[in-house]
Amino acid sequence: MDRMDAIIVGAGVAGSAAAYRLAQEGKQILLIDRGAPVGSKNVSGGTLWGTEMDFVDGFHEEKPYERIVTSKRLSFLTEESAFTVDFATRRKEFTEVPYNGFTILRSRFDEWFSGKVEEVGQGNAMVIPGIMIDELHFEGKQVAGVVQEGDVIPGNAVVLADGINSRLTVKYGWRHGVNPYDVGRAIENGAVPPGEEPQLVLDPHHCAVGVKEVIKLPKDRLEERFQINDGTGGVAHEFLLGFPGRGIQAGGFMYTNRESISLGIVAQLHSLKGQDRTPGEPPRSSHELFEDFKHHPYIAPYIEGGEVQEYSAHLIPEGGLRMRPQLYGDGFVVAGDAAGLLFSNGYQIHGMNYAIRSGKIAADAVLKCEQTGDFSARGLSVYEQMLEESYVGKDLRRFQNIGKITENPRMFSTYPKLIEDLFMEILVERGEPKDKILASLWPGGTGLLPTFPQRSKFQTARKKNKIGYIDLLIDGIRGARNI
Amino acid sequence: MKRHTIEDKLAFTNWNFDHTYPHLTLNEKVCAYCTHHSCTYCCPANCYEQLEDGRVVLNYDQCVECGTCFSICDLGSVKWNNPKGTFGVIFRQG
Repeated sequence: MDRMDAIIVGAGVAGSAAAYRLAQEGKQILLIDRGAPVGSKNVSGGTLWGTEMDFVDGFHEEKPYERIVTSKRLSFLTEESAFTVDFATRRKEFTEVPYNGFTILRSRFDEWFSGKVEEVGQGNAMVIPGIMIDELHFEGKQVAGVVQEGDVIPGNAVVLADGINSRLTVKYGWRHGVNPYDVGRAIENGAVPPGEEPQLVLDPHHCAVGVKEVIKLPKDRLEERFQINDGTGGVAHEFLLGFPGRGIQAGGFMYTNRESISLGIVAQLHSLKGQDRTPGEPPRSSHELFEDFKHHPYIAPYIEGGEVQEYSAHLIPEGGLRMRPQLYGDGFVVAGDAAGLLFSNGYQIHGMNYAIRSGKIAADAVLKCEQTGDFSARGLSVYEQMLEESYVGKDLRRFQNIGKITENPRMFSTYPKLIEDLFMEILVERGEPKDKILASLWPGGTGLLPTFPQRSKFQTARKKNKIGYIDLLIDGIRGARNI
Repeated sequence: MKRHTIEDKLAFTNWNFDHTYPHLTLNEKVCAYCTHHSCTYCCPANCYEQLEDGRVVLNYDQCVECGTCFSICDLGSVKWNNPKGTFGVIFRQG
């Protein structure tokens, strides 16, 4: 086979973005995906934020997305209550080309995207679905192509965009952490299992599992329920779940598609694995948790009468810099989820736009190396450099400590309940004289200094939830510093 | 909407089964040292089941290829590979 300018493994949004950029430049490329059709292995929540797709000709005309996000909501759910912040707008940044966000379904979107790669490549770009690559071809120490069932497909550079479960980066040791297979092999050979858990190549502290259903709903009913009146707008609604208990740290999402709703939960794996429970109490499974969310009194009315079309699950790389693998080496670069390039600041989770940008940068790096003919680690180090200079690198670095907020157990066990109790204190009409709002919140009531005993509404809610001032202060400072 | 069991849910999804190649395997010898068996409740497709005698068995057919079991198995018993090309789960929505 002819030597390719580049081979891209994985046709998710990162891989297709890299392939598209290279194909635009007339390069000979192969885009290989294990799913047939392309997209059939891919799952996202899925909201795609930003304008990264504008570089693809025909994106706005062919509309491979579901709806344009015109409303973003964030809710705190307890067992019986919901507190929601709802931002809905007609401002042109959200409602006119190039738009600010889209809901998408990946099977359709990714198949479309890979089709555009072939289109722009005019015969130089080939998309191969249904092929699983589990081996790379080496010339000396340098990656120089892929191996498919014994056949070598040579290429100057390989872009690894094979997702969070990237078997290739695990296999060749480009992910940091202990490979659990080594632990298993040692136990088999008679070693005692490690008492303390080592940091693994795909550590549960760095991952969350998303469990999702796509629920079909007629267009008019969907638009009525979500207060959409222009036929194209959509809602991106995210949730902080205060009700699962047992120390389970989970969020939820509900996104509107054209004629369906994407509904799901996202549970931090370490908290799902190590649930706090009394002896004999059975653990709550990931799929039961999803059903609990789906039948929550706030959620159920949205999906009533809907038909489930598909059940799916996917891991989400929430570890940021802590889980970043080796990003480049001799003959290869790593992009998208495979590189853990997901951004979270507590109230926004962006994955796909960061993946697309990393794919573009990977392509730019390959193009740069082509000028010098140096595809060694030295040449391809330009990938990490350009990534670090882009918003992808800068955001991941700036928000690297966001885990202090998003992995703080109080975020899930205490604060949603605290908000609920505060509203109950304020809103329940007891036929008693009312406080002004500041007096409801301030420990001192109407006075400047905290009084003893403290009597404000906030105090009552705070005491009910047994959260001390020190903890509040620490969380407040952490929040102010990291969010 | 009624409450779905995991069996109900899996019926909504499509697979191209490969009965000749298990892309997931367990090592019974290693599982014997496990204290949590969290695969039995973390896996969103309920592929892992603990029998009455304590052994954990795996049915990989309806695996949704998420990777959860590989991440939580700290003893390295779960061997996780991708199914061969075109086999395994086929998402039509994604």
